Amino acid sequence: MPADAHEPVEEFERERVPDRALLGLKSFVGMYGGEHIAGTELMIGPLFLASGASAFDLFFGLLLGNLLAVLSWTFITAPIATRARLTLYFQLEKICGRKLVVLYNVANGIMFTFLAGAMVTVSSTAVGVWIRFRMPGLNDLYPNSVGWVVSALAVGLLFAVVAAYGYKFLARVANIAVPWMVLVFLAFGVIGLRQLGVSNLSHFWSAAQTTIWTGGNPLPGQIKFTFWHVAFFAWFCNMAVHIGMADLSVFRYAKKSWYGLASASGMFLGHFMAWLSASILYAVQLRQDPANTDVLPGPMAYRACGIAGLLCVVLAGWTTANPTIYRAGLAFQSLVPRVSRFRVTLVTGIMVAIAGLFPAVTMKLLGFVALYGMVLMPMGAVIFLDFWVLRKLGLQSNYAEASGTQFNWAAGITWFATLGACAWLVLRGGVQIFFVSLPGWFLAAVLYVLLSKLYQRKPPLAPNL
Amino acid sequence: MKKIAQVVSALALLTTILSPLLFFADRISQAQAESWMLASAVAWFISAPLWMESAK
Repeated sequence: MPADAHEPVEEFERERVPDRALLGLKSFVGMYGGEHIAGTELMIGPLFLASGASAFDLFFGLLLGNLLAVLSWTFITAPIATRARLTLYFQLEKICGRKLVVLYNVANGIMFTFLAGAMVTVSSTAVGVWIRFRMPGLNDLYPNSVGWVVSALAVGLLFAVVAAYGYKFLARVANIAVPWMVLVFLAFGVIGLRQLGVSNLSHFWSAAQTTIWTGGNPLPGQIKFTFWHVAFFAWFCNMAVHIGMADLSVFRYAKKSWYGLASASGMFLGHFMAWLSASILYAVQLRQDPANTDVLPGPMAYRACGIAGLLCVVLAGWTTANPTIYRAGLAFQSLVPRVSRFRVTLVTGIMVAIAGLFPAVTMKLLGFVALYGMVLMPMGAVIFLDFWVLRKLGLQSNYAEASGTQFNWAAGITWFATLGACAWLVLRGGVQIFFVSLPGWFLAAVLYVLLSKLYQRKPPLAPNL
Repeated sequence: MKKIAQVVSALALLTTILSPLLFFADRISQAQAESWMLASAVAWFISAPLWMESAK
């Protein structure tokens, strides 16, 4: 059977998305809702609690951070996506040249693969309740039972096959599952509150401060989270896809740039309500057994909502892992454009399944998502400056395409130097990884302009068409 | 058929959130809430594709 027989959906990987393929607001609301009301929320919520965040810091930090994230999608990502209508990778190739994009894609694909692997890990904890086997603890880095290995591989391979069938199919699955999942996540919080002894909503804030998010010292091995930790985490946990521009590949299908506001469905349901609900479930667990600090979404969901809770954990992981595998597949396909997207996504999914065996990323998820944003952020700054600023300064945008170079050193050095500076700040400068990406973006922006001025001192190029 | 599916879906979502609220208000036990939520999930995933797909 020819490879193209596996291509059920047109994806426009190396061309502008035509008007006939544009999607309405509802598709993006469903997609962001499905992607951010995810199994990993059941990890992140408890990790806030383990980090000693107080009720005030958590509530108001999340409100601020999520608002900034929505604004980032709306005013940074979507305006470029709806004008250029290209995938991130094709856009980057025009700016950076093929060889630099190869490097970027390797980094991007690897990060997406580990992230999707974390989602496989989360869903596998639900299987561990149905079929009893030993599951990883908070400090485990490696698989610790045969049952866990079999479960994670089976879940991962299922995700891989479904992801290979493309974005539109995934959006359909997410659209169907999202309304139900939202309510189940809300149910986690409602039932958890009752299990904590709250019987009246007027007592909620008092219970939040004195019983659930009491602040104080974090659990052993965790960093203390303040208001600013929470706000910056909420803003930057998806930095790679908004400020880092990975969602150019998504919003290129949007009819209008203000569809970026659709990301609010994911932020305020997934990264607010769901994180709070998951925190409440963990508070219930700690109250029932203070020695049980394991963060296992399956058992926590089961204690609150029974089998429906477990089903929610599996589906939440699935609807999140699929677009992540798809994005990783797009990243790797740009390395081998002649291989069908189906085959690349399938192989990527198998790598995800293997990554999902290892609980290390999941148990250190707060730090991992901050790292993931930091690694990809500088290229977001490069795209932003290239699209909006370079021509106004008399410089050539899409320099690689115009000059025929395979490696735009201005962009390359910007990326490496920014990462180097951020790494130095984290390792030697005493700046925590949650905060380093903001100064990093401005550093990348300044570097890219200055380096482009130096690098483009060559005979004039043809103007952009 | 589509109308029936939409009604079933609406009832499924309503039951999904009413069950925990009734448990919160001490009107039903947690086991009852879990059973109703499971039944609602089955009803939702059978009925929703019937009208959500054709709505596209």
